[in-house]
Amino acid sequence: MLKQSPYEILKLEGDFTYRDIKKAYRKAIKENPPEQCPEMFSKISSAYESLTNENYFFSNVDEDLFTLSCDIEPTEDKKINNVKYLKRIFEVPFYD
Amino acid sequence: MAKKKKKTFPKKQILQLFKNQNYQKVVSKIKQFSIADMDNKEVDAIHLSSLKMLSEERFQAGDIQRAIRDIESAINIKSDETLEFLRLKYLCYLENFSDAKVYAEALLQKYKTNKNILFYSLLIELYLNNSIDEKQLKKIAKAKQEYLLAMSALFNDDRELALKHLNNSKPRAKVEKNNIEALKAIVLEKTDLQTKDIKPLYKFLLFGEDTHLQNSKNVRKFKYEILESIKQSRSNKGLKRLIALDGYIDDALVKKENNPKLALNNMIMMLEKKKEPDYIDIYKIFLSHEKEFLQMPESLFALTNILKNLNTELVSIKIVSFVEKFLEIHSKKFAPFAIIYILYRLLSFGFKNEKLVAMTELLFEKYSNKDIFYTTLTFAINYDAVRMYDKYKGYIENVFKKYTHINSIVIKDIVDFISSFEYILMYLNAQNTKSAVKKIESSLYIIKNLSVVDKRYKSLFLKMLNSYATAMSLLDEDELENGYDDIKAVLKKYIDMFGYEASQFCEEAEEFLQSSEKNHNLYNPNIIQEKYNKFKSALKTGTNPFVALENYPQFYEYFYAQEDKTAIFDLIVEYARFKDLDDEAILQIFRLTDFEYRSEFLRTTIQTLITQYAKEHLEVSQKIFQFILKTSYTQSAWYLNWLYSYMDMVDVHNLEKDDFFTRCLNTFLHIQGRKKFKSLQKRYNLVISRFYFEDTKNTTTSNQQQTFDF
Repeated sequence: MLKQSPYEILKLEGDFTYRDIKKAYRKAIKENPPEQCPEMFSKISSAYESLTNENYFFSNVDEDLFTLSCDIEPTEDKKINNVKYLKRIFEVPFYD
Repeated sequence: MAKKKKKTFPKKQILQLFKNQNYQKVVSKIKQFSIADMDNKEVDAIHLSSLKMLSEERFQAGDIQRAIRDIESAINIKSDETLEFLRLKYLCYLENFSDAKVYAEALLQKYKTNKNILFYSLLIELYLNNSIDEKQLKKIAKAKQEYLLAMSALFNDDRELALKHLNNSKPRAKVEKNNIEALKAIVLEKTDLQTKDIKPLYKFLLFGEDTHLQNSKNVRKFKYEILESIKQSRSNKGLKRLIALDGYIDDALVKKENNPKLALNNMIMMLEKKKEPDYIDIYKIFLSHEKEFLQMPESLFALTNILKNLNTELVSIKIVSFVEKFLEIHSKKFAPFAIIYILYRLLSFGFKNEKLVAMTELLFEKYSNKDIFYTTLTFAINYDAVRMYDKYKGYIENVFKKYTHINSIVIKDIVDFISSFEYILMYLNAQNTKSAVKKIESSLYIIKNLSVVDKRYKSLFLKMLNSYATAMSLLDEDELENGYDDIKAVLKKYIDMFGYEASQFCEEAEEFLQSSEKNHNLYNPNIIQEKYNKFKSALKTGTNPFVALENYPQFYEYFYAQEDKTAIFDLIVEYARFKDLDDEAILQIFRLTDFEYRSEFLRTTIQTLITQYAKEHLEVSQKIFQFILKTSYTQSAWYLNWLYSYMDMVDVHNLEKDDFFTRCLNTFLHIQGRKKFKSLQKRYNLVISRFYFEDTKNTTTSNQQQTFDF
């Protein structure tokens, strides 16, 4: 199952340690209390559980796949301009 | 000098070729031979029709040059309006517009009311950059008028006007409507057309598929250019889908982006979106991004997923080096259980790779406790359990004293492995089977010697014990040195420990529990020999030989005990020395010796036994094989393996490929064609290339339909 990286959800970067996960979790739920941001709260809880709860980890480790946010803008679609070839190569839409 | 007379070709055969739509052959035979019992008029008629059909086939396939050649040959036999129109059409597809113009003018003189010729003559003017004669335009169908106006607008780069005319072009036929829609999509530069039932050029310009595209000068000139533009557009679309986490792209394209997060996401998307991911490929992709992935803690989760699904000995120590470096950077960020899990997954690949095991052991020492190391080492790899046990007795006896998730996973994995044992026996070679047996014995030895086991393992241990019993019932005692005694001891031990009830065990486990020493050494080789001699004497003296075998079916036990496993087959050889060997005799011998060749064990090995036996007693082996195949028909993989072995034996020993062989061949192809067993697909292809074509040359059509499907 695709999920956002738990580290990203908990805003953990650089040289953090296992202990920092709890601190990050507390900070995140303070910023996103369940009554105001129920969806975000659930995401935060799930991220925390997947990193710290042994039961949760072993129930999900083989299925969960964590993706990362990429700061990359897709370029405009390159359209296929193949109209010009209709002049060069003969074809007719009719069958008789 | 008198002209050399052509040889004749039978009328019946030429008509048959025509009926079978083999027009190419009809044309070549008419050219080469004179046709018996047919006058010139009849020959011309069949020749003309064949050339016309052949030309149409070539055109459909895109081979315009040959299509023109054939239509011109047809015109030489008898010119008519249809044939001449086709020549005009093909000249256009060949982009030979100057010749087409001259030809069209001549045809219009000849066939003034032919609207198709008129339509093509107007098209030719268009492709020659001339304007369209409006007076002539009005003479053709509305849909075609609008199409010509649309093309005229397009040639003048007025897409808007072109679209307006295309919208007004409404041919009746659905396929023609599809083509107009395809044209609109090309003009609008869209690639999301739903149908692919369109003309080859449109399909090529929209999707890059070149099936049946005409082989003209301009197609050859622009093909690569068109494909490149489609490829570019696709890679861009793929990238957009990847960024939106909607799909994956080729890893080479990701590398161009030089973005580690994107590379990891792409690999994750491959794991998620591919229906049957090739984990070896994905593993290689992982290693190719080693440096970038080393920086991201998320890599660990991706790696565990890959290793969990990887079933190969190709895993190298490179991956241990990666984990070593990874843990140096990130170990403090992970819970201990997460580290144990990845180390366990690594150790699972320690099979035959002591260096990998040694390196992983060091990582266990550094980052985890060692208990799990000993458990996994013993279970996961083919180690000498006794040596392991002696060395690490204290650890191993207590590994299941406490319940841990990782230990549960270890047990589940070993249950999965033991459950696959039947498959190993059936499909893998002797060496792999031997090592699998050793692995089972090793793990059983550990289970036997555990001192305390946490009660939370109760249900998992039950599954494990049942799977051991099932696996062992597939082997005979020779193949398991101590396993038979161990399984009984283990079953009893855990019944005492966990209080399992008899009903919780599978049939095989129950049989082990019920069996006792009296079941051992049931047979007496001396009595067997005596029976054998009596059987021989009866054959010599012409009395009933089967009496000697009655009331003493232990040949079957003897058969198992023998190294070369020939006891029962030898009886058949003896019989064949004195009497005609028929199915009835084989059946009688098998029945009296209790020989059940469809037993789970024998069905995986019987074909090997008979094939080996064939080296000395070819005819008898063939008859036994035939008897067994005739009486065991089933649509199972093992039966197909028997069929294959039989055909192989016939081929290897240059025996006649008779009707029975043909039935084997057809049965094999029929069943595999329907069932599509993955494990047999290679054999299926091999059978087709090795026997099928050869067989169809030598047998009649009715023979080919014969199977064993009783």
